[in-house]
Formats: sequence, C-alpha cells, structure tokens
Amino acid sequence: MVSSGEDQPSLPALALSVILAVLLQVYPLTGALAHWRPDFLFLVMFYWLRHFPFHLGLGFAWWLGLMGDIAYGDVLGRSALAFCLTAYLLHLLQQRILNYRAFHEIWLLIPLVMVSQTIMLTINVILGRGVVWNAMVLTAFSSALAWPLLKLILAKLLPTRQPGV
Amino acid sequence: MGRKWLFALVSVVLIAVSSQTALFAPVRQWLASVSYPFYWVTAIPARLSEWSDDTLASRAELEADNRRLRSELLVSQGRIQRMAELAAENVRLRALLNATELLRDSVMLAELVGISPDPMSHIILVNRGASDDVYVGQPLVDSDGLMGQVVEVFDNHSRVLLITDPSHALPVQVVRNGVRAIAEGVGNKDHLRLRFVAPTTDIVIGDMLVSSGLGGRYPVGFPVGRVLSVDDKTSEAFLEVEVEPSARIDRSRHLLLVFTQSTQAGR
Repeated sequence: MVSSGEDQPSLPALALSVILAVLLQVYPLTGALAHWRPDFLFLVMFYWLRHFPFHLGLGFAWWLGLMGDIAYGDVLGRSALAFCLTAYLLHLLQQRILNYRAFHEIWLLIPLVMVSQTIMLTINVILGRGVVWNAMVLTAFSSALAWPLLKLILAKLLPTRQPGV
Repeated sequence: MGRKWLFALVSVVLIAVSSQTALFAPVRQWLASVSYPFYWVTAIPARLSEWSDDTLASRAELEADNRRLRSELLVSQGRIQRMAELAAENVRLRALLNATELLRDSVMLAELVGISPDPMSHIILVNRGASDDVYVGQPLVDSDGLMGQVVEVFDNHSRVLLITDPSHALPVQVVRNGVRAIAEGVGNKDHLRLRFVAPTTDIVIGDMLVSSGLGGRYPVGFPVGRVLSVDDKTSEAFLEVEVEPSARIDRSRHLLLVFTQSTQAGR
C-alpha cells in the first residue's frame, strides 16, 4: 500500500489529480444534490497522503485546502485549516493504518471527512453564515461511496510504480 | 511537531482577514481570474446541451416553437400596451401630486456560468463584470421575478447573492394592500420567510409580494413571491409566513441585470 522510500510523487500526476478534483468540486449541482457532493479534494489529499506519507505532509494538505478555498471564492483559509488538521490526524494514525486492507480504509476515511466538515461548519457558525449540519453526514457518506472509484481512476490514470495497487 | 500550529495559525489569520476585512480585495480579483476557468469548463456540458437543442432541433419542433413564441409575443405585446397606458396614467397622477417621475430601468442580458459549490451559500456566477459596467448591489432578475443582487464584481464575471441565501433579506410589500414586510432567505431554494409580521396584519395565502424599494437597493415593483402559508401560533409574538419565490431560483440560465437610473446617475 505505502510506497517504499525511493518512490517520488510525480508532480504532473499530482497537478492533474488536483485539477480534476477542483473541476468535480465546482461542477454545478443544485438543490438537494449539492449536499451529496463528495469532498473530491479531500479524497485526493487522502490518496496522496496514504501513498507518500514520507514525502507529503501538512504543507501539501494546507496548499490543497487553500486551492479549494480559491475555487470556492469565499473565505480563504477555511478548507486549508480543516485539511491540515485532518492531515495531522492522519499522520498520527499512520503507523496504525500501514497494514490496513484497501476496504478498511473507508472506516478511516468516513470519520476524517466528518472531522474536516465539522471544522468547516464550525468556522461558518463563527462567521455567522448559514449552516446545514446534515451536510456533514451526507458528504462523509458520499465520499466513502466515491472513494473506491476515485482510487481506481487515480491509480489507472497516474501510474506511480506501486506494486500493491 | 510545531509546524501544524504554524499552519493552523496562518489559516486562522487568513480566515479572519478574508472574511472580516477588505485587505484581500486586490488579491481576490486575481484569484477569481484563476478560479473562473474551472467554472467555465464545468459549464460546458450545460452549454453543449443548449447548443444541441438549438442546432439539432427538427423543423417540426422549430415550427411549433415559433408558433408558441408568436402567440406569447402577441399576449405580451397586449400586456405592454395596457402597461404603457397605466404608466402614462401613473406619470400624470404623480405630476398631479408633484412627485418625481417614475424611474425607467434598463436591463442587460447575463448568463449563468457557475453555482457556488458550497451548498450552504446561495451564490451564483454570471458572465458579466466590471467591463460591462456591472456594479455591487445591482439587482438581478429572471423572466419571473427577482433573483438576487451582485455582491462582488470581477473583470468579466460577478458573484450574485440570491434572495434565498440565509444572510439575505429584502423589503417587500403586498400588492393587494401595500402592507410592508421583510422577506428573508432560509437557505432553501423553495421558500423565503417574512420576519416580524404582527398577528393583526392583513396577509393571506396567495398574496403576491413585490419589492418595495425601501432599502434603496432594489427598484420598486419586481415580483418577489407568493404567500404559501400563514401560521398564527398564539404563543409567538409574530406570524410565521412562508413565501414561494417567483423567480425560478435554481432553473433559470438566462438572466437580466437591471440598471436603475438613480444608481447609474450616482456612479
């Protein structure tokens, strides 16, 4: 699952996956559907952090979050904060999840998405903006559903010399 | 691991500065031009389907469409004639009252190019910006009623806050009797709520609401919505009134930006 030390994350692959995620993130959805949008940027962050835990860290997560904020065109730093704190949690759990089977990743992904969503919603509350609390559960659920597919696509699209994937 | 606190601190500072001050305004202009292509790309499917509807339509469909539009035009022209008569009468009456002449608004066609990905904020992007003389606070309407107001203007596009956003409120009046109220968004595309309506107010289900122009932001008389339900809870000090927006908030793609004469003169 996790790459050995020699493997380097390739920059074009990284950039491509991030652009893809931002496109999916801003794709226009209206009404109830909008609440069901998986957090694609988060999934991409999860993917790269799981594959290159020794190369990519909090800084990567922070930049990715900032990218999301820029795409949203709203408050800067909201996703950045959520992403870098979640990445830190993932970092703390890294030793424990080294041997997880692919399927079990979902049980790690769901709570992490919920943590990240909770942080963003809390910031919304502090700023006095509208909040839909069940968005947290819906996003976590849809992200978990989208994860296997996204992972498959990323692995096919961006060969990273992974024997295990 | 002190770095995480550094990142967290920088984020918090960013959040505070970008949400509470205008310090980042120039940066946001630049960032908007970075993010706009993404919205442009994601709008391609909608544009493509519209294009194929336009170009691949059969002759029979086009003829049917043409017939329908002709009859609609006839009906609208009939209405406009009545309107012109009423406007003339209105001006005459106002002249009698020594009031200022009624403002006539001009409009500009705009197209929806993006929807805010955040389901909690009802914000859309339209393809007109500073180069088309769009200004902050400008009202946006669709064919059926008031949609919202421009909150941020960039070079070639702008962000519009819809009237259904929880942070949006606008002054309205009942067409039937002129009762004034405040219509507030609740974060739901299908209804608005009237705030602080006294239980003795004459307002019933089906009442038509139009903008009252009192805030100075929206011009007078644009349709806002229709009263869906009036709930008189004896335990509450005010009526609970739900309103269904007239504008097709989540369906309209072709919109109109309204230039009001007073604001044009003021700019």
